[in-house]
Amino acid sequence: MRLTFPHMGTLAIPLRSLFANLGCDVVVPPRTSETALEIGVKHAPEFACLPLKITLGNLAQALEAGADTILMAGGVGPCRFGFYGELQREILKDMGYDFRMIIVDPPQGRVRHIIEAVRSFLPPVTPRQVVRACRLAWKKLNCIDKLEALANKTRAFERKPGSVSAALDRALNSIDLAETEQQVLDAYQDGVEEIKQCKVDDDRPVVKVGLVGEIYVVLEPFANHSIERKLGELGVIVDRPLNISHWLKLNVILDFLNMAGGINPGKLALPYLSHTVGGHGRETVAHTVNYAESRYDGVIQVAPFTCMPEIVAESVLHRVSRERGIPVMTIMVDEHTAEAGLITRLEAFVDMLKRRRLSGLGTTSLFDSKKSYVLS
Amino acid sequence: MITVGVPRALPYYDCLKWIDFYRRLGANVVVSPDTTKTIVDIGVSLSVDDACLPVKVYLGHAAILASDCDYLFVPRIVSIEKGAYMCPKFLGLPDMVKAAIGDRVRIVEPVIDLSKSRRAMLRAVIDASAPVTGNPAKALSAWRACSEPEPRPDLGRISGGSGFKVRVGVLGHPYVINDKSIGMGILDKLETMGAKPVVAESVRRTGRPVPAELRIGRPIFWTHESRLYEAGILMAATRSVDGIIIVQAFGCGPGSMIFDLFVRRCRREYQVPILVLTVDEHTGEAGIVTRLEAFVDMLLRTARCCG
Repeated sequence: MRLTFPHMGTLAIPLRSLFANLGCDVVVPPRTSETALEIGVKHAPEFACLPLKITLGNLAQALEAGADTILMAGGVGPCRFGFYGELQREILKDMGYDFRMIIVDPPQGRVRHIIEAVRSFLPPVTPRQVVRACRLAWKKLNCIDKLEALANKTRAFERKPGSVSAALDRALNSIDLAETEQQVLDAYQDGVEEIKQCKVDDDRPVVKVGLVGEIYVVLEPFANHSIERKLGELGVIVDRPLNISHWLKLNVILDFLNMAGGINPGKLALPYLSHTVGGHGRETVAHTVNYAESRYDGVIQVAPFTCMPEIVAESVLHRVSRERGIPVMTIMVDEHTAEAGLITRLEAFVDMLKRRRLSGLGTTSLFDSKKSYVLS
Repeated sequence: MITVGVPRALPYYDCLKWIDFYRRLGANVVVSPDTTKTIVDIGVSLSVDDACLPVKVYLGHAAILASDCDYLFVPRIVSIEKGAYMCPKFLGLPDMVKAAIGDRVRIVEPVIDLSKSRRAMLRAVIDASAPVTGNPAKALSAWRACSEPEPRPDLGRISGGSGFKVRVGVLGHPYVINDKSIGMGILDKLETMGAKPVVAESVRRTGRPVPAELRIGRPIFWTHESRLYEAGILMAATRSVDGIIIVQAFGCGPGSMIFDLFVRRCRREYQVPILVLTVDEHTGEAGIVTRLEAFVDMLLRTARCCG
């Protein structure tokens, strides 16, 4: 059995580690690229959302590379993601591939179901092995999320453009190669040091922006055209509330205890969106309210074209923006999104935020507590 | 007397019983007229670009009713059966209306969520009656007295209509194919071309159960799409239609997935011709007519050659 799964940002690093240590032969799909997108666009339905198309391309490329078992997450609606596995299986069958697809549904409190689903394809393992593999993958996941958050806060102050991103890439690579928890920790600490060294303390004008939206597009640099890096290099401190470790804590492990921390989406979004709408629609609204209250300069929502939950969120975001006084820009991406057009919009938005700050219209003055929100 | 406005769009075709309900409670009910170009234009100007045409049209209907009613009836239909939901846009409908025209009209927004229990309907009935009566018992008895809704426009087509040489299955959301503007009156057009349209709702109302082997592995968790898929498969498998037309709104989320699964399955298992029409605010009627004519011509020829 040769196992594969689609990419989503850096998720492949902990997933590969997890399944390799559980004794699986893992085929990581080639890095998401134009090729993957082209395969997806050719075979997926026209109005399907971008993540379906890109992940379909990932899977087809992995099957070409010799994988024979696909691991995919399922769902119970109403977001389309819950049907990805079903549709992708049919499309890949029509493309002529022979494979087995395992769709793991969210547990909704029944973790046993996940364990049973996963055990159905795993080679025999001892509980000790399982614990070790899970701990290592979890460690990697957490370290990656922390490093990315740090990089997003530091890029605005880097001495040499691109140096933070380069340091981050090196650290991610070492984490990918690490085989013990100690090695992960070492790679993490080296990464933190290296990223911090890129920082320069001058008083360049910076603005703080929250990055919200649909989780795949937010996390996958190929889908969002590396928006975090672009914003950072424009002098923006980026805060991204969505990451995989937080998502897992919320949905798989600690949901009922609300120990994952963070905001209470239901409460914050209540005046604007009083019901869940699937996906991260309500979270998008709640985080925007939260950013307004935390005196951020602006919010950028990214989502795939035709994404239903995010369209509902977008529809109410202009009201949030109006009533809470926070600029919001929505970027819908699909296979036709051109990088140059995106850069123009980002530059215009960031320019506007900086001017707004200078003219005193912004919620915070230009340089206050700059040091405190870099590198907490 | 209190006037309640009901937009003739999106959830309207699932909400006919509510009109009767408000009349029984003694309210004056205004329903917006059939969709017109003006309504579409107003809706487009009020909504975000990325919304689908039915949502834009809904906002148009809501806006023209706003000045003529005390309350606008905008239900939040989360689920009307166990284990299945409506499209997320139904779930956020009152919020979208409030963001667009919330300063112009008061909105009554009962939450209809029967995914766990049918008793949630009682709560919705009491909430919906609040602007008209403060007496829950009166509201509930009015609701019980409401008859099942009169046959929907498309249902008039089940019976009668002899002299048709071909039968065409039309798969589309009720708020698309019944709306003269969004759906371009496709059902009427087919009839004048000599083809008898058969809609999903009429297949469902025959009460014929869908055999297990025709269902899909994973239950479809959207009510409308699940019904359309099952009706379509039943039409194709029993060869009760000569061809199938899928009418979808541009950018329809659930439709993009389920119609694709449907077409794939038909291609593999059934030899049934399928035409997919996608409509949005830029769709020209002439283009639709040309494609319909070509499709019906093809079916008529096949019928003549092969008996």
